[in-house]
Amino acid sequence: MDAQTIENDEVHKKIYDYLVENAGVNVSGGIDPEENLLDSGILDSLGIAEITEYVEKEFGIEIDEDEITSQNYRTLTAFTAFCREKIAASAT
Amino acid sequence: MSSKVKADLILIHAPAIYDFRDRDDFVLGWYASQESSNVTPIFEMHPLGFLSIKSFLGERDLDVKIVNVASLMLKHPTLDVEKLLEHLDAPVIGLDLHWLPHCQGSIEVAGLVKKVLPESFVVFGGIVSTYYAREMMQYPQIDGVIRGYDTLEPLAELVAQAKRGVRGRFNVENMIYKDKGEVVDNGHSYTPEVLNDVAIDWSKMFPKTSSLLNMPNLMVLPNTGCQQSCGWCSGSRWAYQRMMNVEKKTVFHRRSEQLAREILTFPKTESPLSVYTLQAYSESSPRLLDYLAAVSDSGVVKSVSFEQFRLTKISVLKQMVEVAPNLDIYINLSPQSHDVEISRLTGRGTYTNEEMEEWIAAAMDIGIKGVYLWYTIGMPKQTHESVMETVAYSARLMERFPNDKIIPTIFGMVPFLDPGCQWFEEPDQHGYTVFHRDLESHRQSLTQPRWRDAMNYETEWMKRDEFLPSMYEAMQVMANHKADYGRITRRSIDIVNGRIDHLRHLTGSIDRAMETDGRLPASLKREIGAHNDEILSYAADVALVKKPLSGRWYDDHTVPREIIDACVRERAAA
Repeated sequence: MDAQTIENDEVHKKIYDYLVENAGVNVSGGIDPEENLLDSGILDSLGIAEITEYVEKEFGIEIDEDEITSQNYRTLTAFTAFCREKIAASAT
Repeated sequence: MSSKVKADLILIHAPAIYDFRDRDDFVLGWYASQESSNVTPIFEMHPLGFLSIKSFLGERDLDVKIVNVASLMLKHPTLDVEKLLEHLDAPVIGLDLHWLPHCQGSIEVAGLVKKVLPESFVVFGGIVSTYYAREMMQYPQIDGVIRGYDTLEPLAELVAQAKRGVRGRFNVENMIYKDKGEVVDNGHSYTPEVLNDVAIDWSKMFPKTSSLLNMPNLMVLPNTGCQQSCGWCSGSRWAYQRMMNVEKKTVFHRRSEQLAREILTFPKTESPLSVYTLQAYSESSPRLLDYLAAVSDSGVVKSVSFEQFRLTKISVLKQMVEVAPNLDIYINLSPQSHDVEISRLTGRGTYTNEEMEEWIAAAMDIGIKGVYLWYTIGMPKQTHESVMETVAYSARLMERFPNDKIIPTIFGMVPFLDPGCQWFEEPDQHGYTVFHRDLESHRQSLTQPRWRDAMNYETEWMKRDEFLPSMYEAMQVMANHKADYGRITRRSIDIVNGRIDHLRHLTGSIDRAMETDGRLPASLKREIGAHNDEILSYAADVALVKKPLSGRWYDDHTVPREIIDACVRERAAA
């Protein structure tokens, strides 16, 4: 496993752990990577604001208001990919 | 000077306190009521009635513009409000007292309006204005008040007459006004059977944004008045019979056709809409189901919330889910207290806790998405111990329904008991003491350093000094229970605890300083100023979680950027 993959796995794990700990609904059965976080209630409007603050601090990135879209926040997979892109962009 | 905002009627929404930006002698948001909300303590959400007025007068070819001064001041802290008002041009300027906590800001801004636009007729309306209509004539900046639960026709008449150049002897029902210094009372005869016979056009209400932080919430008001007589409510049957010149009939519905028209204007947005249906407890089951089906058919709404007075029949709940299978349906219940005796004294108490819990279980099984429970501090026979028992009961309730969205909330009835409600009018009979009776004393109370001096009442069972400590403790313990049972996040709870601790520290320091020296030391004023600046920079209440101060339907969408820039520059230069 190369360094990039390890870093990506860490991003995924931190977001997954955060969501399990802070979901707006019970997710004791885990979160499917493709589950719709918005429709399922895992993320409500307060949750969206909170997870945005969390990843900004945790990964040292800045997320613009316009980037907080359903496309980027819809699923764990999509949100992880979005954060990875932001991390990569901030590193260059 | 740059361009003008011209209209036949300009509706101005003032901040609750003017000028909140310069105040470091009292704490903004001391009566924060929830863990989170979409408005700041200056209440920048203008009345829904503004939108009805705009639509109704628009259908009469009268141009109405809404200028949200409160939102503009929040977004542009260096905005010169007086300069902004100079850019307005309308024969009639309307303001609201909205909730009474708005009375200080609205009257101050009305004064600025009269100063820079002396030829414009300044008119107020709404429930509180109806109650205080005659007293309001003492303010030189207020020209008239239109009384009543529906003022659309009289207001349209006033604007039409003013547009034609009429400046005195208005032929406008329900209006009390000043004509060359003389108070003229046109009586209160306009009491329409049908409420607000117009549909609000929501289609242009939201800016083009894809941000999920701007998840649109909108409200629908299908009726006004009430069949119930809750003692604390100035919208009750008891209060309407004394304030609104009505007798037997005290609930006034909108036509179903208008509700359907309004629903068709709901916009398709990036994230689905949430709709809060006000006063749904006064709707019949067939009307409620028709409404729900229409909202569902719109295809743009994700969730709908209803207020219910009684436990909705299970058969009706089933029908609600059947007619709107694609909607998340939430029901709001307001028992006010877990103690049924107290609940009954408030005018509620139509069910026991056991009945409510069985009903919740059935509702969840049927497919109702969630139930919000509202408990209030300031009720008859309610002590601090009783308040904390309500919080403990709420915890047991969340424990019983671990996987369901059962959300209890407790808040204080602060700072005011509604003028016009039964307990305000007959305090002795219900164990209440009322400290501020007239509008002017309410206005002055809102800028007092000590929170207790703002409160207009206390009860036999809870004195003024007890309210805030009780409220803060109840909110804090409730929030911690919510975190224990997964209703809010652990991270939120740290913020809530820190925020309430800080509010407790500030309000306590103010009390001690005023008691000892009769004034606030400079160091404390700096601390208060910093708190006020911080809390106003977030669209949130206790939980300071960053949300944008824009993109909401009650932000200002009227004043052009060039005017704002000019007014910001001029104040900065000054």
